[in-house]
Amino acid sequence: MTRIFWLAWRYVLYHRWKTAIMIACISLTCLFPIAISVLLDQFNHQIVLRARATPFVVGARGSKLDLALHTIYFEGRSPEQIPYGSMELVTSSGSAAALPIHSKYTAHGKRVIGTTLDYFEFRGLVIDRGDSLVRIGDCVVGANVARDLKLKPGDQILTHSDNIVDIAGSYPVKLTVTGIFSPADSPDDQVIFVDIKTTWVIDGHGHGHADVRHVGDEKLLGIDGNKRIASAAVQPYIEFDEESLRDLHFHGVMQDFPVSAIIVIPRDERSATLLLSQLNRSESMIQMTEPLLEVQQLMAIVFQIKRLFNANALLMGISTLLLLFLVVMLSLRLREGERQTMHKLGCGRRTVWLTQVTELVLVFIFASICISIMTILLVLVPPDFLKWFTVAS
Amino acid sequence: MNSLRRQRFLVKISISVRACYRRRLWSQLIVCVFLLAAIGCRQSVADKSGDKQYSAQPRVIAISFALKSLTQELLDGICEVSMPNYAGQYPLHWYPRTEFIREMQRADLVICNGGGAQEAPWLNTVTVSPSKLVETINNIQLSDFLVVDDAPTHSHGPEGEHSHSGLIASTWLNPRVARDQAEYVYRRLVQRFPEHAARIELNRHQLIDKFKDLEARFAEIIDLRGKVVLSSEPTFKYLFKSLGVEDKHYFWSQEKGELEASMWEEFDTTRPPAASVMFWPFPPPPAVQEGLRSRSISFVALDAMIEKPKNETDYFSTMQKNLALITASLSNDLK
Amino acid sequence: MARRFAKPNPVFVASAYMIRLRNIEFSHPRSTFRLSFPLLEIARGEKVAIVGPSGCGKTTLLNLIAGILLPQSGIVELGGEAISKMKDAQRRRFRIARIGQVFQRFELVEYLNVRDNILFPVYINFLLRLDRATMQRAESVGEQLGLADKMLRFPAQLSQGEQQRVAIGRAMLLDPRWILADEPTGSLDHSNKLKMIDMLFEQSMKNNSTLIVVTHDTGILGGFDRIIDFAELCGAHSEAALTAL
Repeated sequence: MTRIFWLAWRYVLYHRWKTAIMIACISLTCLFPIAISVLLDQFNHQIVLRARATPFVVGARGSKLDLALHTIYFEGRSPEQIPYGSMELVTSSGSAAALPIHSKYTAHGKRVIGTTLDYFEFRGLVIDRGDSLVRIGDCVVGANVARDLKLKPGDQILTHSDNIVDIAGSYPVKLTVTGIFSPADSPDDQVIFVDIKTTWVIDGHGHGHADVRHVGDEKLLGIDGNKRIASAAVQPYIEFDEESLRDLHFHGVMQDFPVSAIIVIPRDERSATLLLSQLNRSESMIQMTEPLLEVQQLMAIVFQIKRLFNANALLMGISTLLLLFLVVMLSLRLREGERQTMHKLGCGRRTVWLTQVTELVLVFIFASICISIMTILLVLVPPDFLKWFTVAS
Repeated sequence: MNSLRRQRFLVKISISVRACYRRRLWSQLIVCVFLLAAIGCRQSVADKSGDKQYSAQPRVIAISFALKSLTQELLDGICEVSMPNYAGQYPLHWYPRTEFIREMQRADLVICNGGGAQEAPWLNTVTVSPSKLVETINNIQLSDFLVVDDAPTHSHGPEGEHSHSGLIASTWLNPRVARDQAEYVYRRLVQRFPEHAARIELNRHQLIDKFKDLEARFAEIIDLRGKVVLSSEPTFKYLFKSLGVEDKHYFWSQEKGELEASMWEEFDTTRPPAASVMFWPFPPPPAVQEGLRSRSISFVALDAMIEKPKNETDYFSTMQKNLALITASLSNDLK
Repeated sequence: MARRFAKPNPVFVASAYMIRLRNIEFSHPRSTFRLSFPLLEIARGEKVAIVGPSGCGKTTLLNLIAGILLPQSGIVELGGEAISKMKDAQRRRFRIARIGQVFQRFELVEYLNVRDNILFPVYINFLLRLDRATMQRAESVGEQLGLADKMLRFPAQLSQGEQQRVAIGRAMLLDPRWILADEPTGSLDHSNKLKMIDMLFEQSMKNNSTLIVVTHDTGILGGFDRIIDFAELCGAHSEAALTAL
C-alpha cells in the first residue's frame, strides 16, 4: 500500500499544477460554506459577547437596534440626544449604575466618545502608556487610534467641527492625549475617549474666555449697569491649560446637557424589570433596550439568510463535483496506455485502479488540509482584502 | 485587518442586512451576508466588566472645609477626610494640581455641594467619576436655596448675553441646611461603606446633637433680626438669613487693590443708610479699607469655610466664632 | 511467493526447449485477425528474431508468450510450465518475475524518473522486495546502459534512444529468463540500433536468457541464432492444415 501511495505521490508531484488546480477547485467550493459557517458563528459569538457585556441602553425613542449598535460599537450616525438628567431616572433609586455616552463628534476621522471614568472600569480598559483623563481637554485614545494617527501621550489633536457656520456652538477644541489604552480587541480601540464635560464644551454649553471684567477697551463694546458687552474678539478657548480652565464655566443646568445614550447596569433582575417598565412607557421620550435581544434578533435574520447560502453552496458543490468527475474521467482515458503497460508488466487490474484512485484520494486529502488551514487562517488572521470595505468613521 | 475594523464593518453590514431584508433585496442581501461572514471576528478578550476593587481603608475627600469637617464627624474613628490645600488662595481662583486630581480619582467618595451651587468651580473641569461624587445639594429643599440674580452679566461672541450668576455655594452657613447636607453625606457613607455603618450611625447621633446645640444658639439670637449689613460678596447670605439679618452684597471680593471709581459711586448710591458694617471673607485690601473708613463703615472678616481656617478647628466652632463676630460687630454698631 | 520463483523448478531446468507453443489458435474477438500455427519451439539461451510484414501477428505472438493474451486453443509452455493454463494472478506473477519485456513505444511512466522507471516492475508487485539490493541493481542496470548521469531525469527529458535504453533496463532489472522485445530499434538510427541489439545480446548471454526480438528491420538480423519469418510460419501451418484435411 505504501508503494501505491508513493506512486500516487509521484504522479501528484509531477503534475503539480494540474493537481493544484484541482485542489483549489475543491478547496474553494468547500471553503465557501465552511468559512461562512465558522465566521458567522464567530461573529455571532463576538457581537453577542459585546452585547451581553452591555446590559441595557437608554436613548432617544427610535430604532432600538440602531441605538444598541451605536452604543456598543459607536457606529453609524449618532442617535438623537437625550438630556444628561435622564441618568437620574436610572440612578435615583440606587438600583442601577449608569454610564453616559456622548458620541456626536469626531477628530481626525475617529469618533470622540465623551463618558466617565466608570466606563473604563466597566469595559476593563487598561492604560498602556501615559495616564487616564485628568481634566477637560484631555483624551485617552484607543490602541488603534494611537497606531493610525501615530499618537503618543502629550500629543494634541483637534476635534472636527461638523458645521463651521454653526454659530450656536460646536467649537473645535484641541485635545491633549494623556494616555493610550492597551489593545482591547473591541470597538474601544478605535475611539478617542474624553470626559463627557469636554464634549459639552464642544457642544458650546461650557466655555472659557478672558475675564470680561478685565478685557481691554478695544474689546469692550460698552457697559450697561452690571452688564459688560465685549466684542466677538473675546474668543472661546479651543485649547485648555490650567489657566484657561480656571475661567471655564458652563451655562445652563448640567442635567439638560445632551448625551447620546446611557449604558445602564442594573443591580439585579428585579431592578432591570422595574427600569424597563418605568422607562418604556408610551409617553416617555426615552427608551431602554437590551442590546443582547436586539443583536439576537439581528442574528436571527442573518442566520435565516445563511440558509440561502447553504442551498447555494450545495448546488455549487454538486456542479464542482460533476466537473471534477469529468476531469477525472478524461484523465483516466488519457492514462489508458499507462494502465496497459502496468498490466502487461504483471500488475493486477485492482492495483492499477487503486494507484489511480489513490491519486484522487491524495488530491482530496490535500484539499482538506487546505480547507482546514484556510479556515484557521480566516479565524486567526482575518482576510486583508476586507479592509477595502471598511469605511473610516 | 484588525478585528476591530471587522467589527465596525460588521455592524454596518448588519444594518444593511436588515434594510435589505425588509426591502426584499435578495441579491444585495446575499452579498451583505457573505461579507458579514467573511469578516467574522476572532475571539475578543475585551468585553469584560471588571468588578470594582475597593480599598480597605476608606478614602474620602471633601471639597470645602465645612463639608470636610461634617464628614469627618461622621467618619470619626474610621478614617481621615482630606481636602484640597488651597494654600491661602481664594478658592475661586485656585486650580488643583494633577496629583490632587488623581487622588480624587482614587478616592472612594468626593464630597461636594455639586450642581449649580458648586463651591469650587474647578471641580466642573476635572475628571472624576460621577458615581464617586456626593453632591450634597441633592438633599437641600428648593425653598432653602439662595440665588444671586444681579451678578454681572456680559455679552460676547456667538453665545450672546450671559451671566455667571446662580446659586450661592456656601449653603452650610445655614445650620439647618448644613444638617440636611450632612444627612445626605451620612446616607452615601453608609451605602458606600456598609462595613462601617454602625460606627457612622453612632457618629451621626453625636453630629445631630451638635447641630441641635448650634441651631439652638442661632434661635437664641433674636436681637439681630431686621438689621441690615453689607457684604463684599453674596457668600454669607445663608448665614445672615438664618439670623434674620438683611444684607446688601457687592461683588468686591475678587477685586485686587483699589476699586474703580464707578464701583464706589454705585456703592454710595445703593448702600442702605442703616448699614455700617461690611463683612468680608478676608480683610479687604488697604485701599478698600481706607474707602470704607472714610464712609464710617467698619469691616469684619468672617470664615465661609470653603478653605481651611488658619487655626485648625471644626465646623461648629467656626460657626460659633462667626456668630460671635457678627454679634460683636452689630452690638458695637448698636452702641 | 518471491522465493517460489527463486527456487529452480526441476521441470524447468530439465526441459530442453525453453519455449514451446503448440497448436496455437488465436483470434481477436472484435476483429477478423486470426493466428494459427502448430508448433514453435525456442531453445534456452537462443536469440531469435521474428520478422514479417506488419499485421501478421508478431506482437500477438509475443503477447501470447508473455501470457498477456491467451490462445483459444493450444498450449504455451515456458520452461516446461504451461503459462496458458495458469490462473490470471499466477500468470502475472510469473510474467513479472521471469519475463523481461521491451515494448514497441517504450511505454515508460512519464511521472517517474529513469531510476524509478527501471524499478517500476518492483513498485507494482508487492511480492517483490524493494530493498537496498534492488535499488543498487537498478543503479547498476542504468550504469550498464549508459544512463548513470541521467537517473533522475524524467522520460520527457530524454532522447528517444535514451528512452529505449530505459525500457531495456526495466526489462533487465530482474534478470529474466526470457527477454521479449517488440521492435526495440524502431525509432533509432543505424549505429544506435546496433548498440541496442548488442546490449540485448549482452544481457541475454550474461544470464543465458532466451531473447526473442520482433522486428522488420533486416539490418540488425546478423547476430541472431535463428530468424523466423512469421508469415512463413503461419503460412506453412495453413498449408499443412489444408493437406491434413
